[in-house]
Parts: sequence; structure tokens; C-alpha cells
Amino acid sequence: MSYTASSDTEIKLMLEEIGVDSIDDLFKDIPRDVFLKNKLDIDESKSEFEVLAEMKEIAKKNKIYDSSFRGAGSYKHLIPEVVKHLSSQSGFVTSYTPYQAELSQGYLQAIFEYQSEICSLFDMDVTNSSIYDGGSSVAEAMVLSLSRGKNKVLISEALNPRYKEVVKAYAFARDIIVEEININDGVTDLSLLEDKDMEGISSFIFQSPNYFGIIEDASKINNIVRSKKVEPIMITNPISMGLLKTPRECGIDIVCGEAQPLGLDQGFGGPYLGYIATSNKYLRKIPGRIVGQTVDRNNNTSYVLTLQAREQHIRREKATSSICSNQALSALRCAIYMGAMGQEGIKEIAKRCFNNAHYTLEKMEEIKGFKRKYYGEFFNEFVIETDCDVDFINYILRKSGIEGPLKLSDSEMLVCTTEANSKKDIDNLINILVEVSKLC
Amino acid sequence: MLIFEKSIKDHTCTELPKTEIKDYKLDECYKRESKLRLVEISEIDLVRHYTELSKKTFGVDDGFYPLGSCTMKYNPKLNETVASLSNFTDLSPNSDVDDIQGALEIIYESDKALCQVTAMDKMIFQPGAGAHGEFTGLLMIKKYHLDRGDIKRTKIIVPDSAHGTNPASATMNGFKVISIASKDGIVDLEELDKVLDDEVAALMLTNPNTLGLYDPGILKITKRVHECGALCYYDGANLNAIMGICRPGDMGFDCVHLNLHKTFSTPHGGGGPGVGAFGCKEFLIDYLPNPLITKECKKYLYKYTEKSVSRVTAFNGNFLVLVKALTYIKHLGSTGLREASEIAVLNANYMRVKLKDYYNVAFDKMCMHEFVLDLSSFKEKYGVNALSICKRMIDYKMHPPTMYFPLIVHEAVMIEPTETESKRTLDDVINVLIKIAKEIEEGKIDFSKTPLTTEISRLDEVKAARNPIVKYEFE
Repeated sequence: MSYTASSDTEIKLMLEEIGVDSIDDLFKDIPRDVFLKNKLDIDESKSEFEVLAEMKEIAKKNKIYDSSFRGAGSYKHLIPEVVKHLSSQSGFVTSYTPYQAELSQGYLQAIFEYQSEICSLFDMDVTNSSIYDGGSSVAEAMVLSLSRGKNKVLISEALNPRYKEVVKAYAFARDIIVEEININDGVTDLSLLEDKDMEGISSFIFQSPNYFGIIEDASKINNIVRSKKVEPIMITNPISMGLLKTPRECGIDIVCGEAQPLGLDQGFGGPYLGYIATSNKYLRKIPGRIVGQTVDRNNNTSYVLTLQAREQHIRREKATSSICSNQALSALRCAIYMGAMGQEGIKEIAKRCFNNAHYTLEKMEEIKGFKRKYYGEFFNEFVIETDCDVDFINYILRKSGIEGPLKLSDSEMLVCTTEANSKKDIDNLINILVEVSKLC
Repeated sequence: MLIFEKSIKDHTCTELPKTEIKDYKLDECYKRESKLRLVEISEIDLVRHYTELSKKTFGVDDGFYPLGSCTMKYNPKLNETVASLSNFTDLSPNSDVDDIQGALEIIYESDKALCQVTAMDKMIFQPGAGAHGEFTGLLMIKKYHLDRGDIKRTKIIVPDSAHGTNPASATMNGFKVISIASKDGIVDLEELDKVLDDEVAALMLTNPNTLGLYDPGILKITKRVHECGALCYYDGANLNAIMGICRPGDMGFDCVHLNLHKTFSTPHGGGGPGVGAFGCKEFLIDYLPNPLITKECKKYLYKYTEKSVSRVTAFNGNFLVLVKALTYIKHLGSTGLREASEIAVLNANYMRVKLKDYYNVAFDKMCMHEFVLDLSSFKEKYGVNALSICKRMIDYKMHPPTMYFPLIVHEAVMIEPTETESKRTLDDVINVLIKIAKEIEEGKIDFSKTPLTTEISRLDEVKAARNPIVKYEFE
């Protein structure tokens, strides 16, 4: 099996036309020292029915929970069926990057619409057609912000630790030093930020709502760092934009992060959708592909990949990034999701994320031995300190078919809710925790 | 018509379940004031909108797609079914290790299979696509040299036929790029010797290269690079020519990246997501991005190393794409993988031989899975450039090949038919290309206006870049 389509007779005819006796003769340039004599040690071909059965067996070894209170960068949201169906249409799935605009107007238009929706969501002027994921988008945003003669970036302690790790990798690559500002009561310590010596620092990266779920004072952060000629970069959850202040309302020019909450499967981490959106200031510097509107010879409105002078296939070593293949199909799916939900839907989802989390916290605080760790206003995640061992809590929850909060330490956990958690789910969680608390 | 122009106030598509949870108060100072504008549309209008856009997008399912270096092979439908199993799609990457054993098995099995294909000792799948694999590999190479105290190695050598991502990834890692000229389409050993010194960190090479030529001097090349203390990086963009036939590790390469969205048939999805699988030899394993997957007593575990270059994506890369690639590997098996490469090379050589009386083949000799035409004679004789010729192919319902790449061939057209096209399809395409060559000679068609039959004709790209309109302006 190899999905080849010619018969043995046809293959023979083709070899004759080429003027060789056998397939092996086609490979004569390969030195005999490296030409494989044995077969690869991989199982022989299986029918599609056997493969499907085998993969289903492997899939079953994963445990999926209908009720989950775990977020921390990957979120369980409701995804309408129409989103899954439309994004699996063959034109979208089996096409290449739309370099040939005449053959790809459909996809190009869809990405143009995606860009428009992302810009509207974050209240920004420009975005690209995607970056690999949230982590790499933060790192690319850092690279975008680097200014000549400065070799440091500053990050808040309250970043998702995974994003910190990706930033660390990209910074090492560029010989950039990463420094960190500590938190106070779960948010970036603004007095430390004010007192910080900003010599040599290009940008300050913070997350809001931050890793602990708390809404940072982005306006104040913006004012502090800008006064020291440092560019603020804000990471945010796109769903929160249905409720919370936009980066622009806080004076921010670069926003980035993970758009998985907008209609993408959790999928054990991918494919996800990294986004970067900026003010016009970065139009010609932002990495990745951008679709622009133009006209054809007959003055028809049409769409094309544009501003390609930033990209690797034109600029090679002078490109702003090496990104080539991106997450186009994720961007398309995200656009379909935003279409299905509409502006009112996104606002409603944001509100429910907020309400459900606040309801959950209210109920949890009533349980003996469970208390809130930080007191700042939060969006849909919060940290609980408990007298119980978090592993024990999660062990019991798992037995009841619930994926418990993320463990931060033996006595701390990060609780998440979205619109996918019903009141019944939450009440059930609380009832079990009440019983657990009696055992601790 | 843009979706925004179809938007009608109060039209809705998806309805959320009823909720019994009351509203909690959020202080005004946190609230969004600016208007959020997306779209208001009913489900049927949403479906028709995107169905129309899909129809206006040409994919492999629509016809011949010979994009050189892109490996636009058929994407089996089985892949899609497996990757949409809810036990894969609904799995959180933050779940406990006991709950993700199936997912870790997918990664572990893919690692084993692809190490076989490449003769590497470990493969990982965190990078999002090929260029991200390059970034990861060069980052590891940088750290490897520094950890040995070899701080002078600041240069990366790439041949002038290399993909643009190679030099761009080198720059992202702070390296200086040294480009070397090719000779007869392959690495010129004399040129290589001239630039090899103790400041070279690595050589990046695609083999077969972007001209579709297998470099017969490959063992000499990797030996000389190693002799100067540098490493050899294999760009797996063209792996589709050699699966089961020869392996980068046996050629002397220390690390590789593979594009699973090319060679292993997971679709391109209009430009991604892919997987930039990255593999290396034993001595580099500790530098791989964290975490690695190990198996102990039948249980899969995460393993973190001190020397690691940290992470390149937040979680496990494009996992569901990897599921598709492993499905493909299991379906084809070792013989099928080899057969795929054999027929890919057969198809390319068949087209090359059948076309060479009509088009000038750059470096006309036995090629691998792709070949490059030099169309400069058409430009000189008839004033028709490669772009116009390729755009004419669209009128015959096929996707144009890669154009103007590699940069070392004038008016280059790079054709990669892949193994999944039948002789019959190839014959049809060959006939069309011969017909187009005749059309040029006859001069009856205005090639400056091709394609002639599409809804949209050639686009004004200059206008798009000069006065960028990159989003819709809501009223």
C-alpha cells in the first residue's frame, strides 16, 4: 500500500521511456555505501480497517473527562458542530499556502476575514495569518520588540511557565538576557517595576489575565514601562476580550498569545493558533504571512499574500522570522467559530467564564480548609490554597469522573471554569470537595 | 462578498445551553468599552459562505498540484478519521500522565518509526513546521558548541540552492550565514573547503537538493565538515525521494528535520499546521527541547534534561497532525514507504524525459523526486516568462509548479509530481505542457494576461504592498 496509482504494466512502460531496466537504476547517484540493503524495521502494511482499529485501541488509553476544571493555557470550550464540518472541507484541507492567488481566492478571503475579526477582537490594526502556538507567538513578539543596542527583555513572574520556557529558548538563540519581575499577591509587583533599572531592556512581557487568572493593571504597566522607553507586550486570552478592556484601551501596541479557546480542540496541545496583533507601528515588521486586499486587472476586489518583503522566501537571512508553514487551517477554523458565535456569542461566553469561576470560588470558600490565595479580580481561573493534598483531591475527583484543577504545589491548585462547566458540574465538584475536606 | 457584508443585526447561529448561574459584578474599570464587531449570521448562511470559499480554493483533491519541494501528495481520508477520534481531540495537554498514555504512545511509536526512516537515535515533535525544526536544531547546535567551550563557531554554511528558511533560521540563532556556490547543481567540494574553518558551527544541506539531484559526494561532504569540528544538519524537505532507500544518518548527518505535512501525507491545510519533526544522534539527545517521552515498565513518562534548549512550543506541538502521520506510516508499512519514494522518483523522471524535447531541463540527468526547468529561452525568444507559462497551466485546471526557485536557475520552474499521480494523469499533464509550448511559438495567446479563464485575473501585488489593506473596516 502506498497510494500510488499506476499499474505494474504502466510502471514498466514508464521505465522503458526513461531508458532504464529497473526502479533501482533510478537511484544510481546514491553511493552504494549508503544504499540500504535491508528493509526498514517498521511493521508491514496493514489495511485501513486494521489501522483504524489499532489507532482506536491506542486512543482508548487516553482518559477524557466530561467535567473538567483544568485550564492553564489549554481550555475546554463548547465547539459547535458546524465549525468542525466547515473547516474540514477539502479545498481548505488539501490546498497549499495560497501563493497562486487566482486559484486560492476562497482561502485568501477567509484569512482576510480572520485577520479582520482578530483585529476587531483585540482592537488592533494588523495581525498575521498565524504563528505556531501561544508560546512561539510570545517569543516572536519578543523578537519583534527588540531594539538596536539593547540586549535584555523583562518578563513578569505571572506568565504561564510554558511561555517563559519558549521565551527562554528564543532569547538564548538571539543572545538576549531575560530578567523577571516578581509578583505581589498574584500580580506583577508594580513598585518593583517602577524601581527597576531598565538599562538595555527592549520590552516588558506580561500576561492578563495572568497565569493565576488575575487581571493585571495593564494601563498602569503601560505607563510605567513606556516612561522608561520600554515596549510593553501583553499576552491575553482572546475569550476575555468579550468582557475585559482591550490592549489598545490600555495603550498597548503589541498583543499576543494562544487562540485555542476560539473553537480549537484541546488535542493534547495542538494544532493550536498563535496570534500577534499590533498597532500600525509594526505593520512592516510583524512576522509571518499577511493577506491584503487588492484588485485584479479588471478591477475586481481580490486578496493576495502581501508585504512579503518581510519573509524568508524573499529576504532569506534578513527576514524577520523563518516561519513558512503556519497554522492556516487553525486560523480558518477560528474564523468559522467567531462567525458561528458572533459578537454577542463571544460576549456571552466571556461573561459565563467569569460568572462560573466566581460561583465556583464562592462555593469553594465555604469549604473548610479551602481558601483563596490571591485577592485581585480574576477572569476564569483562580488559585486555591488547601489543607488537603492536591494529589489526593485529584485522585478522588478522577474516581468520580472529574478532571480536577491543575496542581501548582502540594497545597495549591489552579482552578478553571468555562461556559462548558454547567451549574450541575460545579455543584457536583463542590459536593465531592466537601467530602474530601472531611478526610484531610 | 465578505462575511461582514452578509451580517444582519440579531441574526444568530449557535445557541448556548441555558445557565442557572447568576451574573457576578465586574468593576467598570475592568470592562471593555470599545465596540466588539464580528458578524451576525444564521447557520445556513455561514455554511454557504464557507462552502463557497472552499470551492474557490484549489486543493490536491481538485487536481494535479506539482509544487516542487512541497510534496503535494494525496492526503488519505483515513488520516482525518483517526485524528478526529474524540479520545485524541478532547485530551488536555495538562492532564495527568496516567490519563495521556495513548497520546504518549503515539509520540513514542512515531519516534521509533521515524528514527528507522532517518537513522537518527531520537525524534521529537514539538516544532510546528519545518522552519521551526530548523530553528530548534540550530539552537541545539549553538548550545552544544558553547557547552564544549567552543565559543568561536558563529557561522552556518548553506549552499546557494537552499530553501530561504535555512538562512533565516540561522539568523534567528544569531549565526552568520555563509552561502557557497554550487557546481553542476551539487556542492562544490573546493568551495566547501574554502569556507570550512574552526568558526563553522554547521552545514545545512538538503539531499536530494532543490534541483532534485542526489549529491553523490555526500559522504565526502559530511566527512570534511566533521573534520573541521562542525556538525551536519539535514533539511528533510526532500525526504520523499529516499524513504527506505537511504538515510540521512547513514550519510553522516548529525540531525534532521522532517516535514510530516509533506512526506507523511498529513495535509498542508492551506499553509499549515504541519509538524517539524526533529531528530538527532545520541550525542545531541540531551539538548532536545523538554520533555522527552520514555517508556519504563510498560508506562510512558515525561523526562526532563538539564542541558535541554528548553521548549519551542508551549505543549506537544501539532499533536493531531502527528496522529495522521503515524496513521500513514502504519498503513504503508516499510515496503509501502519505500514504494512511495520509488514511484515518486519514477514519476519525476518520466515527466522529465517526456518534456525535455520541449523545455530545457536544468542539469538534465537522472533526477530524484523533482526536477527543474530553465525557461529563459522562452523569455529571450518570445518574451514569455516562467510566471506567464505557469499561470497558463491554471487554464488547464492544474496548479502551477514552484517558480523562480531555486535561485540559481534563471526562470526556474520546479516540478514535483509525487507518487500518488497515475501515468494517465502525468500523460495528460505532459500533453498540456507540450501544447502550452506550442501556444508560445504560435503567438496567438497573450501570455502577459494568463490565466485567461479564472474568475479573478492577475492581481495587483504592488498596490497590495504599497497601500496595505489588511482588514475590513467595520462601519
